This record gives sequence, structure tokens and C-alpha cells, in this order.
Amino acid sequence: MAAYILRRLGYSTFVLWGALTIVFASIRLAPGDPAQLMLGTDASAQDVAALRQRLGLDRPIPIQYGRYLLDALRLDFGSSLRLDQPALQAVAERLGATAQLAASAMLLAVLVSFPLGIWAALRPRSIVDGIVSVLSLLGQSVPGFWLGIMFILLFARQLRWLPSAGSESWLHLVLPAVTLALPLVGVLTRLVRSGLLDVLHEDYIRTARAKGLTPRSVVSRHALLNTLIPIITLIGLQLGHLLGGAVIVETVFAWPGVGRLLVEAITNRDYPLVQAAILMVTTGFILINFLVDLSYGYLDPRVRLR
Amino acid sequence: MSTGLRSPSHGGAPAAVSAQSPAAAALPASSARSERGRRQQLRLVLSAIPLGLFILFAAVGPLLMPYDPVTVRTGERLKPPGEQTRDGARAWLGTDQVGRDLLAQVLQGARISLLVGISTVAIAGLLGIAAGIIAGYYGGLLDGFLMRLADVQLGFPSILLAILIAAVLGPSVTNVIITLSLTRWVTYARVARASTLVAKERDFVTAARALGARDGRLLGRHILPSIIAPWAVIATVEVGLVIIAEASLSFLGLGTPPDQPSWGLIVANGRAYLNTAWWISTMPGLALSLVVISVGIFGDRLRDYLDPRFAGTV
Amino acid sequence: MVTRWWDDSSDRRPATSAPPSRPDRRKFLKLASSLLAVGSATGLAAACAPAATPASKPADAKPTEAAKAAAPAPTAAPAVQAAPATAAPKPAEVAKPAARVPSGEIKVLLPTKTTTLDPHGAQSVDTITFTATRHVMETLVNREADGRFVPNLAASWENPDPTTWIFKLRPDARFHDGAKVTAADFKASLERVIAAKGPQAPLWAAVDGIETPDEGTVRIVTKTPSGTLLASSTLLLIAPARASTEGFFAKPIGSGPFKVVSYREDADLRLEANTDYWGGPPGLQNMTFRYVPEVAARVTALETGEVDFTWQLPPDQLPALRRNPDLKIDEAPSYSYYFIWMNASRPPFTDAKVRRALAHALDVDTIAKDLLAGVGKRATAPIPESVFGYAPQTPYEYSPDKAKQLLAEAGQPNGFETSMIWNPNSGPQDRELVQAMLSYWAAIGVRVRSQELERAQWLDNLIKLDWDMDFQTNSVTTGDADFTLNRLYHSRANRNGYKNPELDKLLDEAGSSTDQQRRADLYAQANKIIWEEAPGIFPFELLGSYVYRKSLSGFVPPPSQTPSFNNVTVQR
Repeated sequence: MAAYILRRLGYSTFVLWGALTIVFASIRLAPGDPAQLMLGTDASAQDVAALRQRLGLDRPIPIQYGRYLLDALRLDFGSSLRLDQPALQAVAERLGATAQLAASAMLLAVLVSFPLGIWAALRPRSIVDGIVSVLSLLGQSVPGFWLGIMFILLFARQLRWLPSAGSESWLHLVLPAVTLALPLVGVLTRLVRSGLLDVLHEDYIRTARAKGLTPRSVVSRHALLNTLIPIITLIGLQLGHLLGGAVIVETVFAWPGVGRLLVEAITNRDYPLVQAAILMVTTGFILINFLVDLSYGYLDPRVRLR
Repeated sequence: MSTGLRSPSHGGAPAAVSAQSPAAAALPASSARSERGRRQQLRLVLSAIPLGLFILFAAVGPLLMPYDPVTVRTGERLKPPGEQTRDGARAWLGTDQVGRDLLAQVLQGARISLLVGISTVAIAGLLGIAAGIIAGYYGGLLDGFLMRLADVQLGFPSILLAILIAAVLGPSVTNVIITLSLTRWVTYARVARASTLVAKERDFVTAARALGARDGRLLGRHILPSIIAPWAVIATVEVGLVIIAEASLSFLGLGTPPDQPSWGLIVANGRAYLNTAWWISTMPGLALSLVVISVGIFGDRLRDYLDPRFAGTV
Repeated sequence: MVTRWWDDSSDRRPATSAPPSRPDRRKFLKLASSLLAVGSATGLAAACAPAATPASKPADAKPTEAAKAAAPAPTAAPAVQAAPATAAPKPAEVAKPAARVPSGEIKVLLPTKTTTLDPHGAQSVDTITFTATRHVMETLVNREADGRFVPNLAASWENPDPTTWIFKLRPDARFHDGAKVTAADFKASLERVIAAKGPQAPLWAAVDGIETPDEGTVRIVTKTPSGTLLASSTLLLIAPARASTEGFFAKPIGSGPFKVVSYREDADLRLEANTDYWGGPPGLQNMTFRYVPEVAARVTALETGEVDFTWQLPPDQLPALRRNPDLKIDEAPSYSYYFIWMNASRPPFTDAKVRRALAHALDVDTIAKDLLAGVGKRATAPIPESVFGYAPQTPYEYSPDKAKQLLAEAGQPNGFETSMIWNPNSGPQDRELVQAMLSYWAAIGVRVRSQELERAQWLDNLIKLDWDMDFQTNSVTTGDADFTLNRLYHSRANRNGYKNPELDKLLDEAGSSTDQQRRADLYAQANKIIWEEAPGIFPFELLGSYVYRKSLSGFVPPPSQTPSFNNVTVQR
């Protein structure tokens, strides 16, 4: 186990380094100058140069890079160029809102897709199966921003059941969570269904059926457990991606999450903020997947972590 | 490496990068020409029809109804579907926010969206398969490097990577294709690597190698064919996801340029009109959804056809 | 047929349906307190009736208006500095409204985002930052919609010689922590602006020294005479001298009628009434500023009553809102306008005939009617009408034939190919306008490629003069022609490749004169040169369209597009 954790740490460090490096390089390759963006169109060339120097942007790239990695080790990313606060703090403040949204969406998706997937798997090739498979495709086939706006127009404007956008109360969470959950429902339902179908063909399930167990108990006691590994893997991956990737839903619903912060930071070339946010998002992703890996051992004793 | 990061999904939200498809384990179809096999084939062909129609629209539509990206008639703007314009023509899908006919635009959009979807899948597939085969076949340091690179990319929401790349490259259809390809090669690489590893250990490959077959011949004759089937299955699913991902980029202002509008771009630019002129965004949105669903169904059928284990279960 | 439930024509629910986000208890309290307010305001009207405020709007008793009424001649003259001695009344004369009880709450949707509450740095001429912070901090001088300067924190000012300005501060103004507003605080704020080298710093470039002979007096000495100092001081918000300490602007204090309760950059900015405000308490107890990016969500929030006020909505949203019985729309001229620059240092735009040809090719009236109804109109000069220094010019008539003829004379009979950079979200209908203009130019054979760029890249190209054409909005933030003309068209600025020594001379003289009539004459000449030489086309000036619930009263639309809610009240 100790060896496993050590390997895992090494691997995580590599992934973090890789992410930080990609971000460092790409944000600097993108056209545009943060100092110019901060000072606006009227600043003199000298003022812009002075600011570049103050921000350390005039130094050679390898030195900037080395400094950046050293600072990242100390979790020091400096102050955001646009916001009046340290970059890491700005990200941390939004991580809560993002986690809330991601977790709600995932919970919703799981609650809907398991029954749907099981239902479809128990009646392969039936009408039910067909409807479920088209529905699950539908969830993945609509651009999220279009769906989000439609939800606002229907549930907030027309029916007045829910608030439109913002983050004041838990009611504000409903529409973004549902919008985010829909494509997840699609993927998860298909996965539950195909996983179950796969397992239902295996020998031990046939044995269980032969022993006279009802299909219901076969599914709940035996089959489902064995389909959980791939499903949990997927949930982990998706949850990890929602940390930084829920940009569109966060924008449509004015939800103060990390994704929106990151995109704005990228468009404003706010280097410290982009870098801090990527570190946080990637760390979150690694942690979630670490937990997923640990869960394998409990779900299936055959799995050995090495 | 751990058991981590092996995912059997085929992606999901636009932001998702899936790791490995269930089809990873797929084997080429058995050639048994049973009754069931023929039915599978029929189902496959039937499911390809809507998709074929869309491709036909994309190819022929703009020739019949040319899209003029320059000329606008602001006096004819926001006409609802079916209304007549001043010159007597009928705007079957309505007109947009500057008075252009929406139908011509949607047809042109079909071309751009399908072009982006198919090219991206082809390029990402080529990149990914090349990386996967090299990693799987040669192993060692190269394998380690390529797969760690894939891991790094997986730990990075693909939409963010796309935003970064798009910001570097600037707006054009080609750049959108490059951007999306660079964010979606990982799936193929992992599948190709897994298939290569399996194929490499097969008896006939080991035998061929013992007989002194060259690497190139081995790859071309024995390993590549085993990768085609899973690739085809993932690729069909991915076409839909890529089209959606392009729409997301358009929403963020990083999609195709306005004189070459994709469906995603028309939907995105029309979204402020959803409460006043719903058709601008809804018409191309509908087309987009239909294509993604058609591609999805076709992908399912293709998998059934290629993978005997699933035969008859869908 | 597709169901058209999103069409607003049918089935509008009564507006009384409460927004789900507001608990009923709060609503009740609001009702109760606003009843109280109406009661006390009526009393107040009687109390300050002699101050000549219209009796129908008791809550409007605006300190500055009262001040105007009390001070007869000097401030009323169009040329303020023509009668410099003491331009404003003594503080004691300013009629304060008797204790008005602030009540109720409004929520305001900002059209763009605030990224900071620091009004001195990178956002120091940003209208949204100013809108949010002007309720917390105050300027020395305000500018009325008609262009006059009126006292605010400065009770009076004089200009004893062309390079000296003396401001007397109000003795009764206090920061939210109880400390007096002193000359040292003003000095620190101005020094902060200059040191930050942000966009406001160039406005103070002429400043040579800031002296504080006593705590109620500020003396500004300039290197050259400065005719724009008062205009610039309408942008300088005064914070306590300790503002430079880290973290101050996370929850800043000032001397304004509202105090900051909480602020987060991407969530709400909450303010509450400062009952000790020197001008008497504001009309509202609480105020919230919020930003929502998507148009559909903004309009929905307004219709459902989740928010009470917004502006800068796309024009296509206005007709439906106008029909809404609960909403009111105020249209007013603004300092903002659209322009198209043609890089005069790059052929073929080096030839003024080519530039004029492009102007003649646009059917400005039709475009304005079709695309900008309610938010914009044909511009008649390089700066909007409401700006000091505006002088109307002869419009370029729409004539493709004339345009083609000019092109032929310039040796481009078959037109040419070029490109235009622009940055989305710079103004209303920008994308639609670009498409329309491209279409008109194509009709005379000028094929313009639209280069829609991300802000970072657009700015980069713009500054480096790496473009053929540029399309954008601009705001004459100080309301004085100097802010725009001197900054953008002086050869030394070299912003669009156009250089004209004659124009430079006019602009230099106008900027350094303190004789406002002379300045107006000089800018009139500058307007004419820029219009006729056409380094740019100036098709539209923008209107401010403020949409709000009818329960709000006392709002006066400002040309600066930085609305103030100091005198707004809400009735339920």
C-alpha cells in the first residue's frame, strides 16, 4: 500500500507539472499583453514597459518558468492582475460554488440514470429500451447553453417557478444543476445498461438465476455491484472535469464558479489567476480519481492496487 | 500504473474526454452469415439513412440555395418561418437578425458542422491511433511518455484546453478543427494502445515475428486491422460530441468565423433572440440535435454489427 | 407548428406574482417601511418647499439641486470659469433635506462586470466601476446633464490664475468611519491615480503640485493652463488617505450616501444607506448590484421582478419591455458613440477620398432605424451632441454613386480588399452592424473582411496600428471633447495613422485654455477637420436606455451612463 501511494504521488506530481507547464506555455503563446490590457489604450509605451517589469514579464522565459514552478511549490501564485486579491484565494472562494453545482448535478444524474439503465437492461430490445436509448442520446445532443437559456425562459420567465440567474438561494441551484446533469444522464444510463447486459450474460449470474433468484435480486445483489467499477470511474472523471469545465452553465446562470473565473482570466490574460485555477482544478481532479481508485478495492476484492 | 483512469465511457458533456470505450475490447465481426447477421446489417443500413440525408443536404444544399455571407437586408430582419420577403421569395425557416434567409444559412451550417465533426474525428483518430500503436508496440520510455501526456490531458477539462489553444491559434475553420483534434486524441490513443498490446501477444503475431517479419508489415497486416473496428465505433460517437464541442466554442466566441457559420455559431449568435425570434437559434439547433442523435444511433448499430458479444442485445 | 410559449405576446402573468427568491417576510417589512417613508417624505416636502424642488417629487430634494437654487448666477452660466471667483455657494447655504428615512431595497443589474471597487487604478475611467463606487465615494465636483459643474465634496472653487485651482472642501463631509474628509485625503487619492498610471492618469498629466494649505483647502498647480481640470475631477473619487493599505478596496469606505455591506467580484455588491450622509440620508435602505451575462436571463430577471433596474439592453428587447405595464424606459443622450477608423498610414486609406467614399457608401439612417431603434441615432460630429466641444457637421449623404466616383478619383475604380478588426460586446448590435456595413461596402466594390478578435488580441493590434480598419464604441467619459479628440487624434497619440499639424495646434490650444468659449470655438474647428478629413467614420451616437420598475422614482438619466441612485426611492 505504501508503495502504491508513493507511486501515486509521483504520478500526480507529474500530471500537475504537465498541466502547469501546458498552461504556462499556452497562455504566453496567446497573443495579447497583460500589462497593456491592465492599463488600457491610453497608457504610454513606457508605462506598459514599467508594468511588465513590475510583473516580471520582461525576464527571459526560462527564468519566468523556473520562478513560476518554485512559487507553485510554495502555493504562491501572486496577485490576480484584475481582481484585488491573491490568485489562489480568488480560486478557493469559487471552489465551493463549483463543488456544490458539480455534486448536485452528479447526484441528480445518478438518481435518474440508474433506474433508467436498469429498466432498459432488463428488457433489452423492447420499446422501453428504445425510448431510454433515444432519451439518453437526446441529453447529449443539445448544446448546453441553448438548453440553459430555454430553461430560463420556460421555468423562470413563463412559469415563474424558479429564479433566472444568480446564486442567492438554493433555488438558484436547480436550473444549472439540471442543465449540467442532462448530458451526464445520457452517458451514465448507457453505461449502466451496457454494463448490466454484459454481466447478465456471465456464468455466475446464470447460476444465480438457475438457483431461482428473482431478476430483481439478481440485479441488485450480484450484477449491479460488478458493473460499478466502470461507472464509478466515469463518475470520477466527469466530476473532475466539472470542477473547471462547467464554464457554459456557469456563464448562462451567472453561477460564481471556477470555470467562469478561469475563462475570464484566460480572456484577460490574467496569468497568475489562470495558473492558480489550473493547479486547483487539476489537483481536484487527481484527488477525485484517487478516491475512485481506492473504492475499487472495496467494490471488488480481486482488484489489487499496485 | 494503477487501475485508475480506465474509463469505459464514450464521453458525455461537451467538456468530457472519455478514456476508453467499451468497444476497446471489440473484435472484428465474425463472418458468419446467419439470419441474425443479416438483420444486424439491415438495421445498420437503416440507421445510416438519416445521417446520409444530412450529408447529402450538406453537399448539395448550398449549391441549390447559395449562402451569401456578405449581403444583408436589414429591412427584412426577424421574419418568422414561412413569411414572404419583399422580393416575393418565401423564407421557409424565417430570416435572421440581419435579414438573411435562415434556410440557406442552416444548409451552409450543415457543411461546416459536418466538416468540423468528420475532419476532427479523422485527425484526432490518426493522431491517437499513431500514438497508441507506437506506445503499445514499442513500449518502454516512449510508451511512458505518451501515456503520461495523455494522463496530463485527461486531468485538464478539455473545454479549457480548447479555449487555450483557440486563443493561441485565432479564429478559422481549420483552427477549430486543429483545436478540437488536439483535445480529443487521447481516447483513440488509449484504445489503440490496448488493442496493440493484445494483438502483439497473439500467437500468429508472435509467430510472424519469429519468422522475421518487419515491424511495418506486422503493424499493417496484423495490428492495424484489429484497431479499425473499435476506432469506427468511437469515431461515430465522437462526431456528435465534436459538433457539440464546436457549439460550445462558438458560445465562448472561439468557434468558426462568421462568414463560415457552423450550426453552433448560428445557435450561439441567435441566442439573445430566443425570447423574441426563437427560430434563429432553434432551427439550426434542431438540425444539430438530429444529426447528433442520428450519429449516436448509427454508432450503436455499428457496434452491434462489429461486436458479436453485443449482438442482439440492442 | 412549433409551440411558441416563449413568445411574449400571450399569457403574461400578473406582475404581482412574487419572485421566488424573496421571502415574504422581507416583502412585508419593505411595504411597512416604504409606507413610513412616504409619510415622512411628505412631511419633508413641506419642510424644504422654499428650496424650489417640485412639490410633486418630494423625495427628489437633491442637495445639488438645492444648491443650484440657492446660488443664482455664477454656476448657471454656460462658461463656468468665466466667472471664476467663487463659483459655488458657501456650504452653509446648501439646503439639506431634513432627515429622510431610507427605505426599501432595489436590485440593479449591471450591463458589464465590476472586477474591483478600486476607482483609482486600471478601472479608473470604467463606467461600470464608477457606477458602483460613486455611491460609496464622492468627487469634488459633479457635472449635470446640461453640462454645468456643480459642487459636491468641494463646496466652492476658484481659478485665481490660469495654472492654479483652489478647492474649498465641505466642512461637514465625513467618511463612513466618522473621520472628516480632508485635503490630505484628496491629495492621497489624486496621487494614487497618478501613481497607478491607469487610464485616468493622463487626464492629470498637467498637474505640477498638490498643496494642502489647511485641512479644508486644496491647491492644484498645473504646468500649463488646464481647461479640463474640472471635467477630470468629476471622475476622481475620494477615498481616505489610508486607502493605499492592502485590502482596503475589498470593502472600501468613502463619504458617499451608501456604505458597502459586502462585495465579491462575481457575486453581488450590497450597499446600505449611510444615515449620517452630509447631504441627508438616501432614499433607499439597501441596494444590490449584480451582473448576469446572458441577455435572456437579464430580461427574464427584469420581467419577473427579481431585479428592478438595468440598462444597455439590446434594442430588440425593448419593444416587449415597453409593453410591460410594470416597467418604464428612460431614453437619454449619452457620451458614447460608434466609430470606424481607417488606418491613414496604410494605402489605400492614405487618400482621404477613399476614406470619404466609405462614408458615402453607408445608409446610416436605414441602419440606425433597422438595427439601433431606441439605442442609437445618426451621429453628426466626431463626438456626441451632449459633449462639451460638440459642433454639428454636414452629414455624408448616402450615395453609392458618389462613393464609386471618389474611389475612381483615388485610382481605385474597381474597389479593393481590406479587413476590419473589432471586439465583440463592445456595444449594442455590434455583430449585426458589422454585417450590415460590410454589405454596404461590398456594394461599392470594397470587400471588407470581418476580423472578430478576442479583446486581448484586438487591443494588441489596435495599439500597434496593425490593422486596416477598426470598429468600436467609445465614450467621452469626462463629457469634454479634450478627453476624446486630444487623446485619439493628436499626432503624438498616433492612434489611427492620421497626422495633421494644424489639428494638433488646435487641440493643444484648446486643452490648455481656461476660456471655455475659446475652447468651444477651437473644438468646433477640430470637429470640422476630423469630420471632413475622415480618419474615421462616425455613424451613430448611442442613447442610454434605462429600464426599471415603475415603483422606482427619482431617477435622472445621466449622459455619462453612470446612473446614480442617491435620490431614487421605491414605493410598494
